Amino acid sequence: MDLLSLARGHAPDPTPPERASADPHRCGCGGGGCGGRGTDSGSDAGADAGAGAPPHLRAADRAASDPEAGLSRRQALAVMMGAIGVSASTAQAVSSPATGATGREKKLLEWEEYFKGNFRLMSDDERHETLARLERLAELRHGVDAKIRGDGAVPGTLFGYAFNISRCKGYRKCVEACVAENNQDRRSNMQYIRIFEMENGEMNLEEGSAEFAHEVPAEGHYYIGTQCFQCANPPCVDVCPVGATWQEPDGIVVVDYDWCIGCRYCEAACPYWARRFNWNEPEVPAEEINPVQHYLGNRMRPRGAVEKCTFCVQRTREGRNPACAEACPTGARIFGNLLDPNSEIRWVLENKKVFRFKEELGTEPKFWYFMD
Amino acid sequence: MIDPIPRPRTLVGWAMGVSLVVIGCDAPGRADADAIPEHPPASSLEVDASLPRSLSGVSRVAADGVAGPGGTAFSVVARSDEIVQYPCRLCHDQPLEPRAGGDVSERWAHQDVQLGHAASTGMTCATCHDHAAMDRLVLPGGERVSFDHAYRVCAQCHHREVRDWAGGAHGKRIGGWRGERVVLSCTGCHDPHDPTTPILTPDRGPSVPRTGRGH
Repeated sequence: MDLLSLARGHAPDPTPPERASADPHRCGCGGGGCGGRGTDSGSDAGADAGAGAPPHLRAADRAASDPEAGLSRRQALAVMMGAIGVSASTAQAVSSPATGATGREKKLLEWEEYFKGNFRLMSDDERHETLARLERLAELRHGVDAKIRGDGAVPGTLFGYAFNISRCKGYRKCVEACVAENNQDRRSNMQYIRIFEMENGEMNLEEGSAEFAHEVPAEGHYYIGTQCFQCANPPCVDVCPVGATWQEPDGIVVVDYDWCIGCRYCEAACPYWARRFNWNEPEVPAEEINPVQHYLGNRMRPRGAVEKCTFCVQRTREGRNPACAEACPTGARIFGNLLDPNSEIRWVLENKKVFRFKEELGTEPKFWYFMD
Repeated sequence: MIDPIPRPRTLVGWAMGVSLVVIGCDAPGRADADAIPEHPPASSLEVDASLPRSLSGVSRVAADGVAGPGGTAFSVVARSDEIVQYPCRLCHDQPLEPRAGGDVSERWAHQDVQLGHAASTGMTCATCHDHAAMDRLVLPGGERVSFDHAYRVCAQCHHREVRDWAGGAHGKRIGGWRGERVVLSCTGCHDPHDPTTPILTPDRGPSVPRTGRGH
């Protein structure tokens, strides 16, 4: 199998022996998929597809039904490790107090999840499969009937955000709504949004306090919030060594949490301290888990992955406002489509004096601040 | 290119996949691109129960005399049906003498109304209310205005805010960023009699200091 058909997600045709004469390539592609190169014992073209490597069970299908196709080293390893893994998990399930059937299913699902590729390189089939696996895992792990979507950007949208400093009073309703909407770890009190309390006249956020815990608004202070600005020229995307974070066509910078290796280069590269790292397995009480999820957004993240504000991709791609914008009681947060000339965000940019942070870095954040 | 007899797992996988395609795949063939799906809000999302989360059941009126960005029309959440003792003529069937100063002790009703709105600079009840016809607000020229269009009264002094509000820089839009634009009226956020900012206890802040110094 060549890279192209593997990337397309075509299941290799397990050619039974009586069909071999009709298959001149003897590669199982049925004559259409491999470009005539076929597979021989020395070809690792299929195996080196990397991100498109098939689950181990498909390799077993191929091996079982077409012995002449041969197995690459990678596929053989996957099959052997799969067999060892299944027998080990069975042995463990037998000896562990957890219920055998669901424990085994969970292990198998996690095993298949481990071998999947980068979300961007997945075929539609592979995406559906991983979404189904993740939904089932959410049910097994948390008892939540999650609905995880993987829909792409709505054509013709580029999201922008405006923050009215005069209106923010430091209530942190946005923070509360964000944590509830995005299933953030309660144990570490993970928050994407930081609201700074600044003395009047002070413009340096490092002189402000994001940990204020008194009644607001306090006399002589103003309030200003930051989160991921979904930069148009994001340094976090540039530094990721594995391509686990990228910018979607609608401008949202997203993370494939399962592809992320947790090196935190992006966290270091972000000039706005927008990125958060999961030092522990995120814990959310089951009754507080938001079941409406997106693969690139608010699904339950693994330990060791980096996450951040995604402009509530699970909401905004449906036409809803991000949770923070919807929750703000003073209307300090304005969200919309920068490509729509009649949107409020465009009116703000054209009619109010707006500024962005660290303009000199050239990150081109899509988050503007203004005052009444 | 598939097994002639699919395994049960493959069948389940295909069934889930097809149902996911039907449920999850949104992009090109969406029937009504402006519709905002109604997700039942999880209980933890009801941050402020008084703010409507979706447009269903929200009565609104077309904005009158103001236009949105690019001259687009927008709607304002109606206020008339939210006023408890409306219509006013049920009690006020006779013209009242205007009561200057708004002294609470002289009132038989509306004791909860505290005048903190430029009361020292000459604003009284009569500034906005016509005591001969209490079901409407009144503009300085005498024109009567429904409570739903109170922004026209506010705009007499706060024209900058109303201009910003019409454009989208001020105020609160409900629903989503797409589709019908419905915004709260001025009185949806500001108590017209005492429009001060409420002082509240904020929600919890971060545990780990993430500012530049303590990062």
